Amino acid sequence: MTELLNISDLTVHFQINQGAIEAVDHINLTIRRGEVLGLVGESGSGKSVTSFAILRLIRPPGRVVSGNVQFDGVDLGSLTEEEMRRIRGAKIAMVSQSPRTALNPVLTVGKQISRLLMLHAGLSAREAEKRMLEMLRLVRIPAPEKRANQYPHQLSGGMCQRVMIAMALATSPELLLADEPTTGLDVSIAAKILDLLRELSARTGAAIMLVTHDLGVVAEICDRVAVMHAGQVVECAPMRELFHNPAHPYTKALVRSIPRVDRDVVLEPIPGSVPSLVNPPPGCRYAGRCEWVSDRCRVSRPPLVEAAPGHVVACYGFEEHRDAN
Amino acid sequence: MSESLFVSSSTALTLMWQRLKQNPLSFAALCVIVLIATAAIFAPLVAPYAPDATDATAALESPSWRHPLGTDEYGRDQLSRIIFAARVDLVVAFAATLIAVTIGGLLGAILGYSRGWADMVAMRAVDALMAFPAFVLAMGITAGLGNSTTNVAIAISITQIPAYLRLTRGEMLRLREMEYADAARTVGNPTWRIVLIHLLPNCLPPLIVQATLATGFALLTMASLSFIGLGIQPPQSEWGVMAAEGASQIVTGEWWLFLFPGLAIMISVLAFNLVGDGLRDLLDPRMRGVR
Amino acid sequence: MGFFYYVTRRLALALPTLFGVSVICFTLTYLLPGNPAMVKAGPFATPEHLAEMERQMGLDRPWPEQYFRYVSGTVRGDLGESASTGRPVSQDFLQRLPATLELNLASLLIAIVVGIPLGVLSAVHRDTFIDHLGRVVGIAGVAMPSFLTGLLFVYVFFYMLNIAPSPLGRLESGIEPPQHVTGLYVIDSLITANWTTLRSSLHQLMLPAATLGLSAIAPVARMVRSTMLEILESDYIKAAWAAGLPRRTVIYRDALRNALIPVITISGIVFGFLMAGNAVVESVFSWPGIGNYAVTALLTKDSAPIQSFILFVAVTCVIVNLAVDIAYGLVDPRIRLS
Repeated sequence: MTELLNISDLTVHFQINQGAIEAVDHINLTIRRGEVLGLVGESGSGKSVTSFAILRLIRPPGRVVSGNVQFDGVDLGSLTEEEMRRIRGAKIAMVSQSPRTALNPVLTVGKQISRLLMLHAGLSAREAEKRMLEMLRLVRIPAPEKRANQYPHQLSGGMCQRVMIAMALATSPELLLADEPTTGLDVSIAAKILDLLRELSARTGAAIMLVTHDLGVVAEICDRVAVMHAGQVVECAPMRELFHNPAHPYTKALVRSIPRVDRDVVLEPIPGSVPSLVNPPPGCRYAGRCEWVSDRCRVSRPPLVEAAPGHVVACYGFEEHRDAN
Repeated sequence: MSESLFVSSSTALTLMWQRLKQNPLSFAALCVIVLIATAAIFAPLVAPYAPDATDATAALESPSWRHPLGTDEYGRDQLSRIIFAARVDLVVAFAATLIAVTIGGLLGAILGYSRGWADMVAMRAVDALMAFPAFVLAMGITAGLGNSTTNVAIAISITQIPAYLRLTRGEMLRLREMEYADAARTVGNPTWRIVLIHLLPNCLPPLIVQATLATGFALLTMASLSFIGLGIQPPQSEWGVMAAEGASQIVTGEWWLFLFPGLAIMISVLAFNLVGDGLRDLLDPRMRGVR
Repeated sequence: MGFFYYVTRRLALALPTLFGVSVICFTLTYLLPGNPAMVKAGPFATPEHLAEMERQMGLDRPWPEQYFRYVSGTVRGDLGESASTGRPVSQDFLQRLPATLELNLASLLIAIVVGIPLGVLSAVHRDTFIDHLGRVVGIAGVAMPSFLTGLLFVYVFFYMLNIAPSPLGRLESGIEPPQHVTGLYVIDSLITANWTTLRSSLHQLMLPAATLGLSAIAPVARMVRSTMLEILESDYIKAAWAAGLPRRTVIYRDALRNALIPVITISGIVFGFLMAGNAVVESVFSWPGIGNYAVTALLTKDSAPIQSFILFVAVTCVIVNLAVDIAYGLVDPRIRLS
């Protein structure tokens, strides 16, 4: 598989009165064609900011301080705003969290999809309408002709999310940024939405970056997983490898906290909370919560090193605790 | 926020004052109000002439060193008249606001705390009163009560009462459900004590904001009333009256007669609005913390 | 069904307000100077004659009965008689209403045409120079008494530059009013292709409409700005940016269309603003509308016109707010279809 998206050294700050929030700190990430990459972390770990940064949609008080995003061999930073706009929604599409509020309340859902087709695929109104109905059928919305003429508030949350997905996939993007696509949905509906995402990505060949705080969701559909903590990528590995051999203490804690039927464990919350990202101290940002912490962790930031083929981790202590679980 | 206010509402007021000092525009506006008020209080000392001193030899003079804001057709010094007029304008505006805050605040607190049918009836009455544009209602009441300074103050305060009533009532509905209201009830405080001592002080900050903005509006209403010939009558010096007198000279080009009283109104209203805006920004939790 | 229910409920809510308004106006009648019986009986009536007149007019009856008479009279269009013109107030009113309507509509147009773009610009360029300028202009506009604006306009454009006509009424002297169709001179002269009159009426309308409109720009702009800010931060606008919609579409179609819904609400408030302001502005420009009529009546202590003016304004405000709410329902699918 070849690389589709390559993020290197991306840093995003949000300026506030007290200083700068370092929301995303020097992250490196690669997404290959057709794969599903899970980006996991607690809220406030910089996952959503990363996807907005890919689309170059960070607005003041936010600011991209450094970094480079290569998409399909093109440096997105070098494009003009107009060129970038043509990529958004066409080649890189986004499925937002909270489907109910992410659809425009005063436009019918059909119109919201078909206008994107007219804009990005250059279809006529009639063709766009036809293709829109196909898309609604594809995401298994019953009675698409009727639904197309309804407004978002007339649809259920799950239905809205299907519309969002239809909208995102309508223009056959190569990359889909799915930001918490299942929050706020019932468990059974969430599962169906995930199935749908996986199936459609397999069919269209679109890669997906799935942003979530839920490792359960990751286990359902992802090929590879990147774990973010406090604005930094601390570990990245193929899905099975990550679940079976987590190397970073934070990942270990996350994996332990998944409720499982085959194992009778007491759920343990991860101690402490995401540290303040306003002028954070140097060193590992997990140091304050880490059971393995050493003096070195507090002064310098551990680099990403290979723990196994295709498995990188940013931790000074992982070798020493390799077999501890 | 409410909890901290409950500890001491004077702390909250001190905080408001400190924050206000950090907002240069609002602080400057506050200084303007203080300046105008001081000039009004010490008018006989500050004004270069007596407000009603006529001088036939100096009629309709344009602004000069002797008469910085010019003179009217009787040779009265405009600056002195404007300074003396500030007394009437500020007193009426403050009095109207004070009456309205007291009545509206107390009624709103009682209604919001007790709820029930009296509250229902009162709220319908408030709806009806608010159906009238304030100025039109003030016009009707002043016309009814007769032209006098007191009646203007009463008329304006009646138009303002509904706003305070609604505000305090809404706050009360929220506050009465708070834990410390329960606490105050369980230790056996009489109702009046709970309402007046424990809860009402928490409504003060939004009331103060509203009152500051309303004082500006009261000034504007009064000046407009007297401009169309209601309420305060010539030869009494009042900004609206003076502007109306100046209006009749406009076709002969004596611009200073309508302009300066008009500007006096505008600057005062602007000052009250800016202070009120500044206070509101400090109190609105949505405005705070954002950036 | 949903919408019908919404309209019915809204109508039902307006009734108690209208009742309250009528009670307040009735009370004001008792406060207002001038005994209507005395007006009718004339200045030289004997006390007996006066008492007889009061009995005839029902002024000796108990309050509730008088209130009932007052309301039923008003509903039938009987607003009493003006002491100074000697004609029924309703007749005087009908004659002057088009002038007020013309002025208020023109002002509303100005307020909207200037206020909405100003609000959008301030929101889109939040915290930049444009936003600050808009805010300062807005605050100053609200603080400026409308008579000062009017007088300044008259001084600058009539006295100094002489490009505006003298502030006296709706047409220059010597120009005939157009054939009566709607009563609005601009529209009537347009319909009847009477260009001289059209020119003159626009010329006369210019300054008063600008004066009154200016006072309403600030509230419109302020409302548009705050709604736009809220909407620009909303999920669906973020989604619209992420979907690569052009800037113009996002701001002027997606965001503004949603922002206009609350703006419809404010047009009710703005209408109240204009109604309150028109008494002053009409008297500055000797505009022969109902505001000026009421002001003249105030000075001659002629109670029926004042009382009718107040009632009229309040009732119109209630009706306009009602209409606005219904329009809101028509525009917002969330209300229309729920």
